[in-house]
Amino acid sequence: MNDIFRRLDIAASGLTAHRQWMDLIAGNIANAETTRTPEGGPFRRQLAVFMEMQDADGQPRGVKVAQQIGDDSELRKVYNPQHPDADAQGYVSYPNVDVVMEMVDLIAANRAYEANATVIEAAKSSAQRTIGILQA
Amino acid sequence: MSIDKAIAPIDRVISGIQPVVAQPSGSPLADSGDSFVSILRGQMDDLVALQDNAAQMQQALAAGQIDDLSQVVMAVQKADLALNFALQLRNKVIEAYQEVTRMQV
Repeated sequence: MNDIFRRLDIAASGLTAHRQWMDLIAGNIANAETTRTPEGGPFRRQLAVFMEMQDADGQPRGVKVAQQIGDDSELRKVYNPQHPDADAQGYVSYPNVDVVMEMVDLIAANRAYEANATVIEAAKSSAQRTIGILQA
Repeated sequence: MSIDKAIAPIDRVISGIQPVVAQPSGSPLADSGDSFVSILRGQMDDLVALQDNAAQMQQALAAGQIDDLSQVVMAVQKADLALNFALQLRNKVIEAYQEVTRMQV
């Protein structure tokens, strides 16, 4: 029974993975000015790493977010000695989040989500079309 | 276009459907008298399982236990497609039965 719904499952995994990516982007934008995290230090831009999923026999099973990694690029330094998180020289480290970049990623994630939703619609209508052969 | 070429796509579609309908172990009709019923029952069990899954997902969503809406939508969609298929199958069977009852003796 599962093979009939393989296309649906694959496209649904795409929906899930891109939703998770959008969650990370939302977090990046929300934390664009965050100087404190539970792990200590300023927030770092979070990236999603996608991984292909396969059956034991190598058949495609879709995609998943394999891991979430922090962007190691340089943090933004702003001189503000009054800030409680300023270093000895009076510089505050702000997250390496570029909101414009995040908006571009958000558009890409949104379009990818829509593409997967379109695959689901196509799979659904082809299945309905096949069932429709029985009618007449 | 020759007729052979025109029919080829239909043949491919039918050969694609057959693995779904055919039972894995030999010819179902040769086994015993109630094989068709057992196939139907197996399909019905699958259908019920899909419906149950969809119902559970909806309940979990309503209770706020699910954070991925697409999983719920997929479960409902699968149940819907399976029900549609079962319904069409049922219509076909009833149709065949009526065809037999209307037979002139």
